[in-house]
Parts: sequence; C-alpha cells; structure tokens
Amino acid sequence: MSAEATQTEPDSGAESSSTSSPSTDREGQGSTDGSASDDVEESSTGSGGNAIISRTDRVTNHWRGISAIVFLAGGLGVLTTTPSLLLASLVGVAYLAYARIGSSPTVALSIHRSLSETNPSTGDEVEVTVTVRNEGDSILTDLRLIDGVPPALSVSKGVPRLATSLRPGAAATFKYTVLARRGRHDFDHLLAIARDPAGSIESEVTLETDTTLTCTPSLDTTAMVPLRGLTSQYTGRVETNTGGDGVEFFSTREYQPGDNLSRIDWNRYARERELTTLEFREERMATVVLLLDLRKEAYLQAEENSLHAVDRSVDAAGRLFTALLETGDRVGIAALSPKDVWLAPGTGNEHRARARELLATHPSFSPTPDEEYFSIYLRRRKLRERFPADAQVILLSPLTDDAIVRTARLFDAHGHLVTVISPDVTNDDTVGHTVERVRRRNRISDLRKHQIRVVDWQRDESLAMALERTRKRWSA
Amino acid sequence: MSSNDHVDDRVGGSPRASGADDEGGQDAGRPAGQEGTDFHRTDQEITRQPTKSGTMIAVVAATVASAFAVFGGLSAFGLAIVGFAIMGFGLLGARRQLIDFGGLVLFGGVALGAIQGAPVLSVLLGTVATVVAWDAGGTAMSMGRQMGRETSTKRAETVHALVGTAVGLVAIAAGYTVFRVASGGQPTAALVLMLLAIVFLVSGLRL
Repeated sequence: MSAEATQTEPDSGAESSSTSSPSTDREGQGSTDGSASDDVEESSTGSGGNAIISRTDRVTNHWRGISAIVFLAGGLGVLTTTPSLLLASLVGVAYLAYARIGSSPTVALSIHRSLSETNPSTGDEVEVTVTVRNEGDSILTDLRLIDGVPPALSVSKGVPRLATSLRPGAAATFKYTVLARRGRHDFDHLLAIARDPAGSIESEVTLETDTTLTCTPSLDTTAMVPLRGLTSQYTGRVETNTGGDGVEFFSTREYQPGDNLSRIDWNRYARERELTTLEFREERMATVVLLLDLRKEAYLQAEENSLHAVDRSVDAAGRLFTALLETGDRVGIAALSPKDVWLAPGTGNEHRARARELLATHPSFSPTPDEEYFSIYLRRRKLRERFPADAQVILLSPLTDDAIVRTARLFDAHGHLVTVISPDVTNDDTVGHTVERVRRRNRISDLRKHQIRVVDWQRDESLAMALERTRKRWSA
Repeated sequence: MSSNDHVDDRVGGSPRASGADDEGGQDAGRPAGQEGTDFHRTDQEITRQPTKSGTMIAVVAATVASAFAVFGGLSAFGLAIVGFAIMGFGLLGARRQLIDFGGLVLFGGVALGAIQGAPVLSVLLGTVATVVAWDAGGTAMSMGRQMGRETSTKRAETVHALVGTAVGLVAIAAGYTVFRVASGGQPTAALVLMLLAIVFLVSGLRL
C-alpha cells in the first residue's frame, strides 16, 4: 500500500481551492424513491464545494438477499417454534429497514490538487497531492475518490484513488507520483462516489477541478553533435577534406598568382627559392535536418512507466537542435508522421524559438500515437523534395521495423548523408522480446554495413554519453 | 510481433468508474483479473479484486459467527465452517455468488444451532456477525471493482462495518428486551405477531 492517505481533523485551516462561492441552497439532493437508476445531469454548484459537473444516483442492490435471512429464519422459527430464530429474523428485518432508510448522500467537497512542480522537464517525477474536504454538513461514511490523471501521464508511485469517510469539515489527502511527459496535460475532473451508510444508494459525482501540468522539452545543449562530411559552402565547424582557409594544416601546393601573401610558405622560399602556398583544412557549416520517426511503430517503451521512444527522440531532437545551432550549423526539423511537420533549416534565436514551440505543441509530437494512416513512401518523397541539396539527415528512430531502415538507406543514397540516433527500447524478459532485440541489432549492423552511422542510445544512458561513446568508435 | 507492448495499450484513459454497480447482477461474478467494460484501462493496471481490508473484516466477522454456532452443537459448527469456507473461496476468486451462498450457509449453521437449542443471545449475535461478514464481503467486492486492490480503503470499510454492527446490536437489544419482557405468556405466538407487524411496517414505509 504505497498510497499515503492522511486524515486531518476539522478546523485545521480553511484554505481550499474551491472554485465556487459558498451558497446556502442545497442542490442535487437526489431522489429517495429508490427507483432503479435515475440520472440527474446538472451543472450546479454544491454548497461551498467544487462545482459539480454531473451527478448520477443509483441503487446498488447491495442488500439484496437480506430478505432471504428474514424468511429463512422466520419460516424455520415458526415451523420449529424456536423463539431465538424468530428473534434472529427480527434482526434481519432491522437490516432490511437499515438498507431502505438511506437517502442519496449530499456531496459537497472542496478539492485542492497541487503538483510538486508545474513545469517539469521530460522524465521528471511529479508528486500530485490531492486534498478533499467535506464542505457539506452530513457525514460521508463511504466516499470513494478517483482522480482524473491525464491520459498521457503514467502513475509511477502511489495510487490515484482513495476510499475514506469524512465528517463535516474533515479532509483527506492522498498522494501519487506521475512521470512527466512532454506536452500540456490537463488533469481530468475528480470523480467521487459516495454511498449512504448502509451502502444501498450511491451517488457518482464529477467535480470540477483545474490543474494543468505543462512539460516543454528542454533545449539544453548536449555534447558536440558529430556530423558527417556533407557541408554547405559557408564557413562553419565541420572539418572537410579540402584545403583552403582554416586553422589546421592540410597540405602545400604550388604558388598561384593571387594567393594571399600570408599563406605563402616563406621558410621554404628562403630555403629553396620556391614559392609554395600553405593550405589549411577548410571548416564548413553543415545543414542538418533532424528527422523524427513518429509512426505508430515508434511508440514503444521498454517497460511500464518508462519513457517511450518518441518521448526520448523528441527530447533528443531538442538537445541536438540547440547544440547544432550553437556550433553555427543550420538545423531543420522534419518527421515521419501522418501530419506534416516541417521546419526548414535555419539559424538564429527566432528559429530556435520556432523549434521549441514546434516540439512542444505540434500535435504530431503528442505522447500518444496518431492512429491516422499515412504512406511512408509518399512522405519520404515529399521530404526529399524539401530537403536542401546539401542537407544531411539525423534520423531519430527506435529502429523497430525494416521500413525505417529502408528510409535511412534511401536518404543516404540520395546524397543526404544519414546519421541514425536510435533510442533502445528493447529488453530481454521474454523470448519474443529477445528476438526483437536481436532483430534490432541486425538492423543496426545492416545500416553500418551501408556506411550509415548509428548511435545506439541505451536506456540508462544520457544522449551526450551515447554520442561520446559512439564518436570513439567512429574515430577509431 | 513487436518486442514491446504498444504504448497505446499502456497509456489509456484516466481511471474512473461509471455504470451501475449492480452487485447482485451477472457481471458481479466476473473472473479474477479481468476488467469490466465500464472501466477505462489505465497505464497502471488496477487489480480488480476484493480489497484487503474488506476481506479481513469479512473473515473476522465470519469467524465470530462460526464461534457463536458452536453453542448449537458440533453439526451447527460444521455447517457454519462450510459456509465460512465457501465465503472465503468467493472472496479469493472475486465471485459474488459464492459470497452470497457462503453467507447463507453460514447462517444455516447458526439457524441449525438455534433449532438444536442454542442460547438466544448467541443465535442473535451469530446472525449479526453473519450479516456483517456478508456485508463486508460484498463491499470488498464492489470497492475492489471500483477502486482496485491497491487503493487504501481501510477507513471507509471499517466505518461501514462498524455502522452495520451497531445497527445489528441495537436490533438485538430491542428484540431481546421485548423477548424477555413478553416471554411470560406465549412467546412464540407473540413473537410471530410482532414479526409480522414489523414486516408490514417496513414494507409500508417504502422508504
């Protein structure tokens, strides 16, 4: 039982986030005629509590069968003239009356939901504390509370539910922890089910609450992003295999009229009376398109309550984006998704702000998959038309099927040198899972065989670590 | 074919209950571990099993009921134990019908004891304990279906059981007093009449 539930006594502070002003009229009293199930849909304000969005009263049939005891005891008692059995049947009658006497409970609750952090970054654990206070003037003996956890968030610790009983003015608190995922998450309304003491009538009430958790991907820089040799004509930081202006010595060549005097090798001229020109390794700017795999196939996670591949890819894309911008490269964003995602490569602060907004708000980056069908073939063609000729591609994909391998190879073949950063979501707890892990490894070696660089990003590893580890492999 | 579960299986709706909790209905005897269609899936699976605290209360009350059946002889005690066992299986397997049937057999044990001449007070207390056990079992079922086994439900269920016990004890006090006072004349006939009167009263109230 990891849910921490605490009870506080009445009058321990009257602070609450009640969204409605206290009013004296008692609404939603509910019918007491015991009809099968009467739905009372109303948008009303309970007295002093959070606004009630919907209310349903129903008969639970909890005591159905108690009459069996009455008749069994009564019948046997009369037949055998046993007074104690007749009295036992009286006890049954008392319970019958007890079951019938109840009326639907008045639910007036004020709810206070607080988050340990309202702006967490992806993967953070956010503690949610819900305090529910009975603002009505009757005891709620059986109160069941179910918190509306946003669909995309998963509960990692504790239970978002509590069953308790509350005296007027008393409050109960329960806590649980959710794993923050990118995007804006509105907490759903709190569902309260109250039963009368006997439990024969229950009232299901949806109470209005207003809590939002916003999680924007961090655009923190990560380690230097290793890029491949495809560059634009502008000066940048990617070392090329051509000589020209630069810092690092590259080669010498025969002097040609017009060469800068400062680049003439005067030592050699002094020694051999020959004019030669020093060449330095040219450093150029690269154009990079971050291509995210947002197909249904990419929404995979290694285990419950861990981030799925898309979460990690989007997070990585944010980091790569900033890192590349800072090193002076032109970066764009594209995605393999049903909805079109395209941010043309660019530079500057405005571009950075646009990317941040795109990653945080575009529906394609949602933590839940888009079920819409799309043709990866057509998407690929469209992207190729858009990519600048000198763009290289960083593909972020868990590599869970062969179509994505073909995509990477096609882009590479069309001259957009591809680097794959692949968050690993496989595990080996079952035979099937192990087979998939092996198949993914085969895809990676297949890509490497075709001269495509692959960063195998392990689960317990930061992106910077993965890049650093793989860079060693490339330079070796 | 994928190595991992698809996330859309995991990231389901928010946990919430809806739909009638028809405890006596067909769906009450749903096999263990299966989820009702009226509950959305959540990423953290809810174990829709009778709650621990409710099961505990039911077991304690059923033990008390069986203990009171001893006053009616070994056969009564044996029948009560059978009822206890059936109820226990019902709670383990989350089968409402078994809980109901177990409660009935348990009361059968108490009734057999009464016929074999158990003291009046032990019969009455046994009856109350039986009802409390059956009530707690049913509550544990419904609570488990709505809230799941992981949820802390102790307070709600304890209060519910205590109120139920109090009702039974008040009924015993009233009935036993009348029995003592009226037992001079013709106890059985008087009691039958009183019983009839109360049955009419309750059904007449139509509360």
